[in-house]
Amino acid sequence: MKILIALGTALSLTMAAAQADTLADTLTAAHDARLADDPAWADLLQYEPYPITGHLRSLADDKGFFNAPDGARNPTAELDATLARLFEPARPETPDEHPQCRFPARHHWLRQRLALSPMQLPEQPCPRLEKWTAEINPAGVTLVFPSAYVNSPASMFGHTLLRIDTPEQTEATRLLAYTINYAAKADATDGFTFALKGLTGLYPGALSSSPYYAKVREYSDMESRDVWEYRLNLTPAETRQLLRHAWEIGATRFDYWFFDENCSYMILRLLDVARPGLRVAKQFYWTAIPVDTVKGVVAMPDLVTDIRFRPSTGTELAHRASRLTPTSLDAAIAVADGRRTPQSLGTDTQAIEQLEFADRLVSLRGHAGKLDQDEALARLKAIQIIRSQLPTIDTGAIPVPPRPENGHATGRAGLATGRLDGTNALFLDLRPAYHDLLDAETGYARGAQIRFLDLGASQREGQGWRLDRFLPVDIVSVAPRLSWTQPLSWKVRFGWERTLGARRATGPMVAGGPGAAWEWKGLLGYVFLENQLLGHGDLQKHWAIGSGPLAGLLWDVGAGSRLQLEAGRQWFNDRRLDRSTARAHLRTRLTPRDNLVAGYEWTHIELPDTDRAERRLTLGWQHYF
Amino acid sequence: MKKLLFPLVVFLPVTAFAAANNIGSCGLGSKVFEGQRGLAPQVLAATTNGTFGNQTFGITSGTLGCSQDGVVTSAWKTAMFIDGNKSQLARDAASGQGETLDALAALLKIDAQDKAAFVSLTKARHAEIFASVDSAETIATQLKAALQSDARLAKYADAV
Repeated sequence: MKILIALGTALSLTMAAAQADTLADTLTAAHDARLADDPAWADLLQYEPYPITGHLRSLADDKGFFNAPDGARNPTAELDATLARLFEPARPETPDEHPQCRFPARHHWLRQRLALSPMQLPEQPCPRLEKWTAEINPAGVTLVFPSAYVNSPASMFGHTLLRIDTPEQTEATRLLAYTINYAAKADATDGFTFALKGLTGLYPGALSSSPYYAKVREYSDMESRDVWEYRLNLTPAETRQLLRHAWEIGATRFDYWFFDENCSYMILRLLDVARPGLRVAKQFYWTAIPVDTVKGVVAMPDLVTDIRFRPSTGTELAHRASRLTPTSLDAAIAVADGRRTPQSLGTDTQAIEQLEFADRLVSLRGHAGKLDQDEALARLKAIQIIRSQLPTIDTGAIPVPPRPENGHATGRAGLATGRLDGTNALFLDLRPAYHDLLDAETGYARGAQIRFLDLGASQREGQGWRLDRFLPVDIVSVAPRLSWTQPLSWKVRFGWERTLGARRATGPMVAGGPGAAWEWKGLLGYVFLENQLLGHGDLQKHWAIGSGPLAGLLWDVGAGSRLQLEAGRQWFNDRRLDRSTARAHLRTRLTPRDNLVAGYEWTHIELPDTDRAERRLTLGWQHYF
Repeated sequence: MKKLLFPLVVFLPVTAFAAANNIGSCGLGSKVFEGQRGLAPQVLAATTNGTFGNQTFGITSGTLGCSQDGVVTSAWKTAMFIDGNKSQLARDAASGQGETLDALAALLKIDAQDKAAFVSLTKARHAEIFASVDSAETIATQLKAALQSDARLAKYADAV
């Protein structure tokens, strides 16, 4: 017996010694292979170089993500510490807490790169991770991009997520696949707190998974956003590595930053880990606007294998409406309104189309909160009972719009020459993001404008450069009213503008208001009630509040040109300030990245001591970047 | 009375829906209509990409109701699917075609040769199956009953 124990002790001691030897050998091998300098190791640790010094630091804001005390900044120390921890003995009681289970992607990569056999480095069981992976059943990856929805330019900034496709997935079962989604874990209840915290990294980001159908319902039905699906050529093995990394990230705190460390950036970094050497995130060091990241992914050679369009309820409704004559459309709307019974439509193919249209319209209104839930459900039931007694029909294919990656780049710079207030002048414009009403619409939502950090400056002959405009946010939604939907148009912007004319300094202001829009043969007309609160030293009380009408027109003149006409008048409470404006802007596309622009603006400012008009005439060039 | 109830509870069919006291913890009972109303949610969507949908689970979040670490526990898959797609299913069933109907057929493992019969059944018995669209539990119970009463499709009733 004693001999046996002695033998056993000796054996385990030898094994421990052998393990220590293996670890020492492994460390040497890792150093020889310079693994700590491998970009793939940097991706696994979410390292990024500092802007100027180039020193690495990890984006993870969580000590638990590292094994070395200085792991967040020291790739070599983290590599050594990680290897040592991977060799830790098994934990039969809490297997999921073993470092191999906490850091499965690093473990997998190191094991592969160092060709470690299970004899050298015993494989630890990770029951939770294994169960999770088995349930997701990964075979491939699809990048999902929900585009903007009508009347919500804010959504135009977009979002991206991943769908993990399964081996035998069909058109029918892709709804059941799981998604990997990165979003801010928001807790505030008012919009301003949300916005502020989202912009300043005060929310933690959280990685979550949900069935794809839950996301489809969210985007297609609740928000009415069209969804684009980009199937990627990731192999099952690469997809499994992506999931391992998602598992590591899931348990780690990352601060969420709206412009750079956002959903789309995390998605790209997951792809980089899945396929070492892909390095697609690198292109988006400063900002990662979702649609730009989609462009980046599509531009990678052979990465995208298939592109699908998933129309939203709103898009489908528009398609269904286009299949009905005005009279039958009115009848269908009457059914949705509850003014007419579904039975009264009859039983022919046209009636079926009308019933299906009415069904979708009631749903859309239910989601938009324009119809009480019980009322909506009762109408749906009445429609569907009649519908279910009629045969199945073909309702045609929904036309696929231009793809978002074919739209203009989101950054734009402009240089123009012209006259301002009677003298020659130069004008500079910079719009880091995103899209405005004058830009080409391809790939963007019609009638939607969202500008971030928009800057304008001018130099008049004999004078220095002056700031004309700085608008952190400028949103306009021109949503045409149709027979079946009457959306409210709206606009809001804040920042600094030269509201009192070219001779007075810029002042802080906030402006916005409701409006309405109509479309007729491609001509988009709109009216707004423009309210404005402004501050300026030349005002009696140093501030003023005003309001007045604004009317405008958007007209696509030929294929590559667009004309915008606007006129408005505002009356203010301060010293009977009164302001009228009229402007015309024309943009013509020269190349996909360049525009020729011409503009004329007339402003009339009436104050008790001044009553003057000034003109601004510009001719210039714009470049997208 | 309690004694009388107890065996009844025990002998109820052990489907996901029968475990009634679990429904709340599964996050079932999602609203038929949800949407972004007003400006504040739009600002939220733009600046945080925050989600407000149901059935979203944190990865490595552990066991929560009917999910574990971010995936739906197998026994609840059909229940969760019906709950998340109630009004879409009702619409697809009424028109006899659609993605959610196809996915439901796949979840119930309905063979290709029985698919048309399944679609016909959900169309023909729409009024019963979708009698109350806001209750996933009623839809599932009625669907199960409809399947059971159909000679060809009865074998799929247990999958609901």
